[in-house]
Amino acid sequence: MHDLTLAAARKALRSRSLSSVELTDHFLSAIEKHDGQINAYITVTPEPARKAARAADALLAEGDAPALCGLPLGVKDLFCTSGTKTTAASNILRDFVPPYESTVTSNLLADGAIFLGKTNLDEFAMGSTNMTSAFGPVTNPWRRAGSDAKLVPGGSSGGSAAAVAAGLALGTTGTDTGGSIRQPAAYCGITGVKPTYGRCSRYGTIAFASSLDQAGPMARTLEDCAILLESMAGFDPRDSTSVDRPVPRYEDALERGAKGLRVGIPREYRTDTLPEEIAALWDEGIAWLRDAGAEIVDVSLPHTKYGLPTYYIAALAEASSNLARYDGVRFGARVEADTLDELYEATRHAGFGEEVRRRILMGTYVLSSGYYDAYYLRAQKVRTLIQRDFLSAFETVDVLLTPTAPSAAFAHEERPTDPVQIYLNDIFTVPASMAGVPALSLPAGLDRSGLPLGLQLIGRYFEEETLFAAGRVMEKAAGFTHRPALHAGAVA
Amino acid sequence: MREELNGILGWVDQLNEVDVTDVPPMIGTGLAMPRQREDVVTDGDKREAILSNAPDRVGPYFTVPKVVE
Repeated sequence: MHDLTLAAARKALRSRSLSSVELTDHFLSAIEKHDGQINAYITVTPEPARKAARAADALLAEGDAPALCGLPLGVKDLFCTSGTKTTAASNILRDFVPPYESTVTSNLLADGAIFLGKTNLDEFAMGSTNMTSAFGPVTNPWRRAGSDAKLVPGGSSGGSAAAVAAGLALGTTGTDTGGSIRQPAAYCGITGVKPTYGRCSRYGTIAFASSLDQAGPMARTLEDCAILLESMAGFDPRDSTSVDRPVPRYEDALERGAKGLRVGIPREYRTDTLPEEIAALWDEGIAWLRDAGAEIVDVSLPHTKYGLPTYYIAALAEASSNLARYDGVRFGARVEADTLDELYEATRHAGFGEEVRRRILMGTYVLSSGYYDAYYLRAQKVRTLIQRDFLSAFETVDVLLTPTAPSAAFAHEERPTDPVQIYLNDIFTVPASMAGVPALSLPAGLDRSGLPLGLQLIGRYFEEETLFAAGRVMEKAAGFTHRPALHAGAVA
Repeated sequence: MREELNGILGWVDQLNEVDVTDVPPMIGTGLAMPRQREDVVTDGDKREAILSNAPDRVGPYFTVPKVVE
């Protein structure tokens, strides 16, 4: 059961060779046994999960079960789940119990999914290491060969990535603002999809940077991600940026192949500091697609280097505005004080961690009247140029292929202390977020020390199906069957 | 923290190299159609739900320290 994909589990449930209760119990006991070493979950919900599994088995027995009936998933603790604590990995929301359900999780529940619990993340999804969580860091289930050093799982959806990698969920939900699905997927050797901005509703997802935040699936395979995305996606009148377009059956696109596909290789991503093994893996990925009949095209995205600074201005400005709501009055933690202003100050000082405070301060600064034009407005203009880079590349190519991250996972204690150095982890993922185009990461190989490396495919607006088709060609060629040191199957 | 913030600001200053003459700011992807809906109440009667996470309340009210002397 440890090595089941979501697709295989779905088949087993439908053929009644496995029950949802058995499957759910398996994952709950794997979490109980192994999550102490990983910390992928902030909250585990065994009782509601078992109850839902019994109901799912009843539906499966009747033979009219919805698409995800009985499949146990983890939910990033940024999605509001009605009646289940939703913390955003922040002390300020430590005891927050939403009275409503996010649209993405409602969609999954309507399709019969079972929620095992809420997965760990960087506080308010702000980070690339999962070390800013108020509930402790997540440990990557992978280890370097011959080393016990604890590695970061990436972030911000680090708990979601680690849970899938370690066999503690069949799949999980993530959110991606600048790479928060793709980078941890790469660090943990799993697959993650950031769909087009507007594909999944943001309603009920705790906001970080609203013009960038996008939910997506994380799972072992592209097929599993396709199944999950079909359920998560869809128009929602409660999100003003939700796009009203039909949701395709992504699974049907998986075996389309790459024959005749035009694959762009953006030359600006081949940076001087790109490690040789990552460059070599990228070349291998190019060869896989070429062998499958794709045409490889050299393209230029000239504003690539400005992606990160533009992102940090735009995202931090939006964050400072979004996080103004945590005032200690209507919900969330409060620190009592004599005056209202002191109450706000004390509450926000105690409630937010260092990285969140840093980002709120920076965001407030770039929006302040004297600096708005110099920073925020200029960044929004550069963002237009970054979007134009992609639109013009997509006039000649169908997809872009790049590495997902400039390194493999690094150790907790190797984490740079300079925030700018940490931000550089997102160098390859941020531009697609800025433009709002869809992108995915899939595990393509191991580095010299035995750690997984990911490759990224970026596509045109709403052409997730092309990404799934091209990705599936690479997935087959890569034949990535490696498992991490900490895996429910390996250590059972 | 001051040093770190200055470091971040120094780093984002590279955006000044970019010629943004006549470039409009990107407000969104332009994919979502602005929509209007009927100007009617679609939700409500959620007083207890809204107050359910209040750190402190008196009856149907949120509380704050005294603001008027």
